[in-house]
Amino acid sequence: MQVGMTSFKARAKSALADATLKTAIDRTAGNAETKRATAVGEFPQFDAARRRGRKIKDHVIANLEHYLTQFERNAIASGAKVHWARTSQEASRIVIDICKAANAKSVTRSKSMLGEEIGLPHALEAAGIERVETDLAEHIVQLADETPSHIVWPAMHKTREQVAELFKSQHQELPASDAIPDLVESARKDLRRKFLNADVGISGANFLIADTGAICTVTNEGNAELTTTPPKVHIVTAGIEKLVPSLGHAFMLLRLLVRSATGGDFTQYTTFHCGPKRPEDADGPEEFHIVLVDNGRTKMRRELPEMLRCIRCGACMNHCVVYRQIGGHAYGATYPGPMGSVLTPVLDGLKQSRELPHACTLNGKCAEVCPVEIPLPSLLRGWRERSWKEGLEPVTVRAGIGGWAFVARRPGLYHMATAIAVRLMRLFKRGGRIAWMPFAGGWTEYRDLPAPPKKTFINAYHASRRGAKP
Amino acid sequence: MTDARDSILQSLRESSNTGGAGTIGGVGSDEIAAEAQALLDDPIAVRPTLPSADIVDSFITRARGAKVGATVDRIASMETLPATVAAYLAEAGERAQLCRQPTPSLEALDWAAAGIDVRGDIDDGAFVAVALWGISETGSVVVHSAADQPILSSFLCGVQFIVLKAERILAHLEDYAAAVQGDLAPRNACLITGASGTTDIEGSLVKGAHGPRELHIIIVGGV
Ligand code: SF4
Repeated sequence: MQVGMTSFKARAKSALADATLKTAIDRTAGNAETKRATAVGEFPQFDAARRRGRKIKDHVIANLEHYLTQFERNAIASGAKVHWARTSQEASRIVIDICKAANAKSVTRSKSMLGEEIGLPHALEAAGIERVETDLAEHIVQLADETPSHIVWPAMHKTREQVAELFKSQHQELPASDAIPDLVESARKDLRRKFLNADVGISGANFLIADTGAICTVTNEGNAELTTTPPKVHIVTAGIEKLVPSLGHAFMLLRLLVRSATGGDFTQYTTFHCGPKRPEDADGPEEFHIVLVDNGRTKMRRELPEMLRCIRCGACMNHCVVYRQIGGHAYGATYPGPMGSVLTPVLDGLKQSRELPHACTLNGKCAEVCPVEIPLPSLLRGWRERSWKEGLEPVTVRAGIGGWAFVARRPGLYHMATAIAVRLMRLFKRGGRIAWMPFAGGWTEYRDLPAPPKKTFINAYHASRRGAKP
Repeated sequence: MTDARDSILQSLRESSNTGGAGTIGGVGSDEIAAEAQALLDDPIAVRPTLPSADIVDSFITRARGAKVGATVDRIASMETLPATVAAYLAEAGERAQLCRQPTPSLEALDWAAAGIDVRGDIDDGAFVAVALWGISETGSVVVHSAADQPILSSFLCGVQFIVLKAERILAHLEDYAAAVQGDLAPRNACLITGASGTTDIEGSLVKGAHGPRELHIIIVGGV
């Protein structure tokens, strides 16, 4: 998806003025934040597991060619057809061609952010193929004719009242009330029939298992299996960074992914799909296609290899003060929040998206919660610097940034400056929130800023390092 | 799509050779395999501990815990399975009807004697199947697609009964990976950890999103 025409500033401003949006985000993201903290608290090995997870991802990224070819070999041996796509257009075209070859009239989709990234919803519509989103949140987003606003909870921006309105106006089986269980029941009835009538089922993949050629999907709803089992054809679209050497490595990453995403210990349905229906099998698709998508990833491997570690858990956005205030749509891109602000310049170009890396307070919260230790704030700083170097920043910004860049390139000064800024911000604090602060009118006009913690992240990080056993 | 394949692999090869951050160029398969294996070392350091020293007790604790939310029964032998299922259905106020996995160990049982009407059509009703493994760490049960294991049934039913032999319960996820290592992977290997749930509306949990509203696990033997 391309960054929209209106500026980020304009979108953020209107998001800030939307009180309903703030309510909706706080209900879900607040829940997610609390649940993650509990799940991590109950897993004392979390930090060691994170380091391991990061090493697994780094190992795969370093040896990507090896794992891709191993995966391809095993997938073909299992009866799968493997396709390769350099760009989002190429990937969409491959999927549409497979659908057309299968004479598909109706396609079910199990939520996949890669599918959004390559513009699959639009491509299916353009090809005149009925698209049925089966993840409940994606179903809501489809009824509202919107795009996902979060990578784990695509309908995070909707309150239950808004969902009730949509279901009442568009479901055959009306919800018995506005209570959430009644809304879910209404969607269950509406979607069940569609699962069984689809010609093609499309899913993403959370992992590609190199040594078996299987792909892994995780859902709590069970919609992935309902999407991929009844139709004649199952198509998987996956980014090439999704590889892991074996099942054991996938499990190590799943422990991190689930806790970071929803605060659960394990997803309700974790399924490994390997090839089409075998002759003796009771059910399953006759054709199984895997589309391996690059779309900027080989470039990212050269320029931003750390970002390829991302397992799309969404924790960085749940914990981001900016995301929590403006929601996902204001970012105007497929991926919102801190990880999105790093990815979007790769996918859509820095010129169109140069404002995104600025939508960050550099409070370090995202890096603190990232289960694969992606240094998001420094990657964002990298984009800011690059935008400045390439002359993409407007003149007024350039004047300000000039001073900032001078300081930022000198770590000692940078720490001092941020520490001073924190102390200044604390002066304006009233009961834990900042209601007004000079030079931040555009922000505090609508929202109270959370007061910064006494120490900066970097201070706290060093303090904890000093306390930690080597 | 040979072009795309070649150009993606070529571009990966080029960036490896430049020795950019996080890349190592020209490493052989054996070294890669050894490095991958080393990443699985010392699993104890990176996985959760079980709630109890007993594997079956741990499984029950996890499966009954709020995160999985299953119910668990223990019976001594398969013969009492129909009566146990009937009692559960009666208590839940469900009809005494059931669809069963077409497998000999379930087909051999006398369901009629327990007052259960065995049906062919699932249609949101009850379904009983036998799991291949249980995993204590997560409270998961594992089913593999096969001639006698239709995958769809586990997702179309409203109430799911899973039969699990006590001796098939493994401690950790890695133990399942080790158990299937070297086997031909089935078309589908499903790790089922609770009923179908969603938190998509305001983050609040509702059971029965698309599939089962309830998961009842019956552990057989080992009592
Ligand atoms: S950047 Fe880290 S925290 Fe954010 S989605 Fe990716 S893995 Fe999760």
